[in-house]
Amino acid sequence: MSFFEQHNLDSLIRDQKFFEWVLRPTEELNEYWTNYIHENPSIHSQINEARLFINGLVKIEEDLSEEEVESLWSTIDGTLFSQKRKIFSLPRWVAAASIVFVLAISGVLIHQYLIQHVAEIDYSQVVRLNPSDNEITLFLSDSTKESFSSDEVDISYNENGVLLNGIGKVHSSDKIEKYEDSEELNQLVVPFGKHSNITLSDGTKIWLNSGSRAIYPVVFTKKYREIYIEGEAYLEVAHNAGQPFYVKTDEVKVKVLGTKFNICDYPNDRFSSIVLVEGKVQASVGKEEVILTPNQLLSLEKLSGDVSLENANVLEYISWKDGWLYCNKEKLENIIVKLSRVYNIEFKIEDQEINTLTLSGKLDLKADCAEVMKSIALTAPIKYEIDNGVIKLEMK
Amino acid sequence: MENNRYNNISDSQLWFTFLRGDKNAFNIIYEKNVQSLYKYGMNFSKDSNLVKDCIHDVFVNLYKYRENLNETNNIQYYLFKALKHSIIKAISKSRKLSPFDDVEVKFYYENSIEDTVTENDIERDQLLLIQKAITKLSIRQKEALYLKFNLGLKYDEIARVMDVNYQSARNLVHRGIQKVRAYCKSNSVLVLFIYANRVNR
Repeated sequence: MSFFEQHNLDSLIRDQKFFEWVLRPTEELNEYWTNYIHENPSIHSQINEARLFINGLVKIEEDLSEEEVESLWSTIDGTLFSQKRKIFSLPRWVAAASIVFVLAISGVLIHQYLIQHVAEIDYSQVVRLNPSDNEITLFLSDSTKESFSSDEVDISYNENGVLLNGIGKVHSSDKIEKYEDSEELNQLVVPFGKHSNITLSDGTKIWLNSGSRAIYPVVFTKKYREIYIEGEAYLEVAHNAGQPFYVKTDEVKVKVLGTKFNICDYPNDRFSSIVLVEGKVQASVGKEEVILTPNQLLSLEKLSGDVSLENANVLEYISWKDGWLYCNKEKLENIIVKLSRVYNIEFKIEDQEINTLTLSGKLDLKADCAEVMKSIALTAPIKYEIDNGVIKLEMK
Repeated sequence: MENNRYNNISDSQLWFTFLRGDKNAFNIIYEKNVQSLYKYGMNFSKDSNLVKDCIHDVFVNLYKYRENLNETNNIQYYLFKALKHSIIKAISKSRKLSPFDDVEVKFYYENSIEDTVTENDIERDQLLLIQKAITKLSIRQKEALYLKFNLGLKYDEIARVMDVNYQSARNLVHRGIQKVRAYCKSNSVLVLFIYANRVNR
């Protein structure tokens, strides 16, 4: 390969027009290069060498067959548009989940299931199909569960992993020792319209927003502490440098060293986000690792994996835990999504123009939904109508 | 399938129509991109079913999130990035990784020896040498060369798919070529005058 001057050969290989000709020759390109060779006869052999080189760099690939293209489309089409087909073309994990779901009802195997799969937070995909009777539900690792009819529950564990406040009385401490090497997991599910607080055995506090789920070990017995969150949570992690704390969602994992931050990853949202209030966290998204400093917002567009880091007003992201919604030129459509979760109510936008409106101010989420709508309608040029549990919005 | 970057003009129109919920446009986007997506995806995993499942997910999500997508998004790069993201996620899930493990992303750019068919022995040796040289490249160099030579993307397009700036995309390609050339140079005793007439694909 060293026969010719390196420089000429390299530039030929990189020349767009040249490799277009090698890979996708057209009449025009043929003519151009034939003329070129004619005018520079000395270059002929270099051209051949470069051709061979480029051909060597091209991967030989197979197309999908026409049938494959068609059948792949019909599964996409089926998932999206056909109700009937949907049942048969659900992704594999859903099928797996349905099986486990049946087992969970019979209340037999879920315990073994939880124990076997401790290290794999992935199993959360399975349990998200659990029945929701619209009550806050705590699933214990001994296959019992406890439901709460109130709108808010405080759950806390002492350092031995024993539930306080009379919740989960069946729980005894000798059980914990049995599973020392494979942590016992509990799971708290908070439906839309409700919220909850958890104090973990290490003193870490979790505020869980509406429509969220937390899965966590009763006691952290491993070298690291690891919990799973779906939906939105605000965390104040107890500092323990010897046992790093990880928060995982379906999209991100966050390494924490004693800190306060908000994490939001609802399955139906296009973005996941992390907002850091205090301390330092390291977020991993796919291959990328990003370190956040206080008052920074990391957002991830789930579909493309695009990550962005910007400064943010923390209050807007964490005020929900105190029952407020701070808006600073926030799009009304985003506010509506949040309200629908907090109040478990459906919104119907009759006027597309509404999506362009923005709102600034503070909404009191402790008030009932009608109150909140009233105060929105005072500031924004909209009117609303509550009809059969659905709130319809129109421009004034 | 023809590489659709040659009819870019209609692409933006198509994208715009799709964003307004047109199902036909959605189907055309699928038809136009599925082959190149599949091939691109097969670089990250050799499991053709996994790649197809991920393409399924990408299009389902694309439709689901269309109202939030930007009119300036370029379809092809957007889909490429989405597919890569989806495959890497699927691989790490199937390996049931703990939070400490990073997914080792592979890029299968090399051809198998059986694929390297040519009637000319000297030429074949040369092609095999190049294949060997490819294995010495970094994953990102492989991807850059793949995008350049297999898909015919320009540097700015490679930069967008790989999420790097223009200069880095250029560097990846240049250094990749240099590395392959250097390897061939030090391992080849042949002087080539042969007309390379291997037909691509």
